[in-house]
Amino acid sequence: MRSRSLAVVIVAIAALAASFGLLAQQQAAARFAVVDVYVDSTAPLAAWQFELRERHGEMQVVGVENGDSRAYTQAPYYDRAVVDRGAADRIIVASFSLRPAAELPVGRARVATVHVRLTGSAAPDFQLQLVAAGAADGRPIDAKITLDTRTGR
Amino acid sequence: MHEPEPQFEELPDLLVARLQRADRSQGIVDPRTDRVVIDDARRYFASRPRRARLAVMRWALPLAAAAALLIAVLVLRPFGLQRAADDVDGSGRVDILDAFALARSQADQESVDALAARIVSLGAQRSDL
Repeated sequence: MRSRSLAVVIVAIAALAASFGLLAQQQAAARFAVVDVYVDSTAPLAAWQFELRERHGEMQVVGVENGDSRAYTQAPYYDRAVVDRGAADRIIVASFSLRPAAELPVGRARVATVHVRLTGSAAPDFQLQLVAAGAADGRPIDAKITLDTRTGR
Repeated sequence: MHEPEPQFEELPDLLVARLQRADRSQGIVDPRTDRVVIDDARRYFASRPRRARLAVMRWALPLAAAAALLIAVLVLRPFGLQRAADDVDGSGRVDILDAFALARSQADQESVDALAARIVSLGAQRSDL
């Protein structure tokens, strides 16, 4: 009887330790990162749209903020409801400016910053696609899109 | 008082004899007759559900086609019309350049924001990545 009680206690302690270990592992795996998105265009950039995702689906978008250009005063468009719900494993971000061409960014400009929560233990593999870029007169223009990542909070 | 006349006495003997035989005769119940009648009845009733099935089958195909057409119209048409309406610049695709074109056309901010919201919606858009 005594040995049986001892076995139960040992099993309980082992289960508790395992759960703590698992929790610690999950906390260590989940981390935040900042993704700065740049559009490089030789023509003044009046409108842009990109889509960002992580190849393994181990990303949750937690916020999107505006870029550097003063031509883009409004917050970019994105699916705020899905982000607020914590269900955005990808994000489509877009914006435009009605400012004159002279005030629009030319060259490499940070258009947006995406804050993400990463859950996997492996390094994130971001996939970034420029969906559209336009000039001040509305015509599509060729542009290049790149990203830089930083460690988040 | 009128007295009934005896009729048989007036009929010929041969006819009276035949009538008497006929009155005594009994119907012959042949098992083969029963079988023929039963088989005939079975055939008749067996054919009825089949005909009913055929009638249903005859209507099933047109009804299914009509239902499919109705579903296609109800499901696909609104999205198609919506996407066509959202293609402001006529490029054949709906993206932020359409919202930009709408904004440049002096449209009200609410319409521009609504179009932009549809463009970046994660629920409606299919990812190309």
